[in-house]
Amino acid sequence: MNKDVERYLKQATTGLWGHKRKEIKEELAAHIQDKVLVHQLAGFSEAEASQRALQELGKPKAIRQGMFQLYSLPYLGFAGIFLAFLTWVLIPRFAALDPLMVRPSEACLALDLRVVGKYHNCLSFEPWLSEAFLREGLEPQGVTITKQEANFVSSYLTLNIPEPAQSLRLSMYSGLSSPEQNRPLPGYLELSNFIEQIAEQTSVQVTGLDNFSLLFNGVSLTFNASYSKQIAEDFYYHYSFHITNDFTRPPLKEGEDFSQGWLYSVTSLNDYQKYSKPQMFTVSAHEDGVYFLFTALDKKHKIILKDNNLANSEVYFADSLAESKKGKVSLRVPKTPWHLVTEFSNPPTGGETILLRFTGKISKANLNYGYELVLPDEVTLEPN
Amino acid sequence: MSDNSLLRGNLDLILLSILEDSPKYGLEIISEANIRTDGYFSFKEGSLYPALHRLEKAKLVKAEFAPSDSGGPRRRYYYLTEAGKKQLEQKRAEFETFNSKVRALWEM
Repeated sequence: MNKDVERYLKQATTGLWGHKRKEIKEELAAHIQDKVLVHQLAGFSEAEASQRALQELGKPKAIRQGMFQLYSLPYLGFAGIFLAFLTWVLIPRFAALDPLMVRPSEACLALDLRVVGKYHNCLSFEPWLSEAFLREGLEPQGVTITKQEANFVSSYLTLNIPEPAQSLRLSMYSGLSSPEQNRPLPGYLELSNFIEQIAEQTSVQVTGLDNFSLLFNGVSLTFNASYSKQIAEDFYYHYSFHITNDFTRPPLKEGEDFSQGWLYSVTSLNDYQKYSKPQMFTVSAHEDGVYFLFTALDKKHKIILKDNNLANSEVYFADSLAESKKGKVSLRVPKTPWHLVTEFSNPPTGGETILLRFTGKISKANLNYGYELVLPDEVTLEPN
Repeated sequence: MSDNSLLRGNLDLILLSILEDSPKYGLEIISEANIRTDGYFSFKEGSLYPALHRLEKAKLVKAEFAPSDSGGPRRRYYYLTEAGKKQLEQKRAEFETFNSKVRALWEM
């Protein structure tokens, strides 16, 4: 991806956070790439093709404003103002509890509001780093940290690392400080967003499970061991990758996409099994037989369809089917052999997992990527 | 080229209609709109994505990533939800009614 495209994607998604920002970036990147190919086929050089693709997509500001309105401001209705007040009261207290912000269930609504757009429900864990935690962890290592308030929702931190000298700029959520009172609150940053921002500017290593650490530019941040399991889950959620006690991720190579880098770093099934012991079910695909795996009624359990090559696996379908045992669903079935894999953060006991086998009626074939299936009313259950 | 205000006013109907047959990704939606209307509907590319995300937020469409056949970043495919299908029927009926009433004004 060339620098202009990178800059465009950044500008189009500034002010968005975490998972949603990543999704929108990827969606736009796919659009741009497709258009670049079209223009290249028409005879333009790669640079010209990129320029044209970006021009046709329009000003990044227009996309940013459209998305920002959707994923942030409209949430601040009456309830939002009330929650904003709660947040204003609660955040400094939680920040004082522990530098690594772990979402407590009592406060999940208020804490959700810290990202303004609400992408995660209270069931999911989202580790947050506070500005105080970064200062406590990095300043003793000689790093000076300066903060620049940008607006009432975001601010910038600059980490000035002495040796080797480098300044890393991070945008972070500044908390809902009140402009009238001119009272800046501590800033917060999603762990995954923090790592991604660092990785965009320098190489970063992530090691350990019991003592989760980030290493970049000769400095390190070590996290409270009691959060390791949750961090591991967060990693799996964001990067489809299980961190392990002995795993060290080599620095990203030039031009390597961060999440892809993680995905491809999984070299064997053993890496997967070390931590969460995923439950594996393998079935052979037949054109006339469809295999679904249903898990316990817990939204944390994701059903993931992967192809046979785990190292190059791609998630085709990640919605929980737990609540759609009957009715119409769409399922992407690659035409190559495949198997179903489901991962559990807490492996369920035997009785909660069933393998559901049925013959699905293919109601519509020849979609771009698979079949649309109609589940029959009556199904045969076959425990694995 | 259509009147932009007409396009904006009927954007939901247009997008839901395009997604009715099968899941599509952004660029596919743009080209489908172009092809099916002989270029009458020509979207500003960048404005399409906030519109699609708005429909997603309203639970009228759902979206999922799928690998790109060109080997690049994954494409995000949108498809109608049950609520989206109902909304499409309703919008379509409203449009038909409006259309026939306006037409009645000059077909007397």
